[in-house]
Amino acid sequence: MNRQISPLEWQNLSDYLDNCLSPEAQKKLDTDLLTRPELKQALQDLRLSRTLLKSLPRRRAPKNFTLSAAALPRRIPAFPYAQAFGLASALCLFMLLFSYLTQPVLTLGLLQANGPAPLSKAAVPMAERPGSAEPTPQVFTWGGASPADGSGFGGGAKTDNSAQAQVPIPPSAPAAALAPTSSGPADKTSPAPVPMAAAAPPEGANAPAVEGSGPILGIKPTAEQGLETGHSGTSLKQTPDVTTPATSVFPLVQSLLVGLAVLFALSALVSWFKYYK
Amino acid sequence: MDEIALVKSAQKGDLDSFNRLVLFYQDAVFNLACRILSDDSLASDAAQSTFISAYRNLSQFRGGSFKAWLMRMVSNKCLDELRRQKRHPQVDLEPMDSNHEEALETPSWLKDDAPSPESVIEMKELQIGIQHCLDTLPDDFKIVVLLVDVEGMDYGEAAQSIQKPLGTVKSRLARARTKLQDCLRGFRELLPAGFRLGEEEGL
Repeated sequence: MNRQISPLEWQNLSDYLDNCLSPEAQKKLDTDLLTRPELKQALQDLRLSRTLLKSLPRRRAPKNFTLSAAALPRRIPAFPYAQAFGLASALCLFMLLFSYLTQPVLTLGLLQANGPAPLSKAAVPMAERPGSAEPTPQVFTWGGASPADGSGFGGGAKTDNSAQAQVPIPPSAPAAALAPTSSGPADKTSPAPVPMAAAAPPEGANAPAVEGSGPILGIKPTAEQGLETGHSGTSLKQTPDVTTPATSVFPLVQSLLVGLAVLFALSALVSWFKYYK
Repeated sequence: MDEIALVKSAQKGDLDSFNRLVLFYQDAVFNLACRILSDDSLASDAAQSTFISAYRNLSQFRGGSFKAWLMRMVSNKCLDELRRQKRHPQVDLEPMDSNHEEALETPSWLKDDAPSPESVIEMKELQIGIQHCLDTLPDDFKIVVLLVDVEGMDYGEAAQSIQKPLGTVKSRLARARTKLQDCLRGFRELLPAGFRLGEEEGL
């Protein structure tokens, strides 16, 4: 019988028992009850089962459940500054996460903002580095062009001992040429090779001619050494400028973190004492 | 009894006002717990725990039906207890009979929970049969039908008690009544003549 009644009709019958149907639905159900005997029987069964439930005797409480102040469990009073400490804890955690998450980003950003300086520093030739003050190896070519008598460059009586000091290109010269900022001083310290013809010694000169700024036996002139030293000093002074912003930002964050961490530890201690005492 | 005044006074910490509310509602709370749990001892514990929780959380009562608020608390307590029983079922390894002797020859604790025809005949009391049918219902359905049909709440109060929409109350109530009706057919012999389900057409 129940299969002939849809769940919606069962719900309508249940609502009908409690007078919770809308007037339209109730009128329709009244019509259906007249024409469908199974619906009428179902309504009768529902009414009887509900009457059975209502007929159940009410159980009386076996005792009074009234409360006494002594029987109530003692409630731990809330710490008056618990909210402030909780806020400090949350702030501490947030700052901690913020510092850990943003520290690499900030550092990278600072490096990128001062990008050309480190690059140019890296491109400074070895000759201009402070640690490389020792003279670069020099190559000397004695004599000028091929001798007219066909003799070689070795020593000999016939050979004109006029010498031409050819200053070779230092090994760091190509790097210096690539560096845009080091073009000024580097040019002075690494002289360009002198053409052989132009560097031909005058006739009759026995002593090796020292022309231009070429070093003699690897010892650079004092004036050029001074220039080199001055350049090295300049590059040393640029180093602190890169790290200055980073050191000025993070101590503030870290000191704030330490303060919040102390506050957090204090709140934990207070809560512990409050709970166990 | 001015329920609203008592509640407001109790919210300010007046324990006497709260105890007057307890005395007024304790039978309803215990009755509902008994019907849900089918155990007087557990129902007593649930009722006591409900009133303690109610006193502690009285500040959270925002008005409306205080009875519905209490019924929601006791319903939740009973559901928690039922869940605990399902998680940790307790079976006596050496069951004792009424004389506190081991009933090993007739181990009633081994029998099937479903009522056999003999046991149905033995259940002379109509209340046991009805309670058995109530126990066969799902917990959600049982609470709704107890609130509406046993405690006499209207749909709105029942919805407030179980914190569900009105439509949910209606559908659960209809399904619970249908299931109860089917179950009560098995106890037809126990019913008085006026309560014989489905026999009126044949008579």
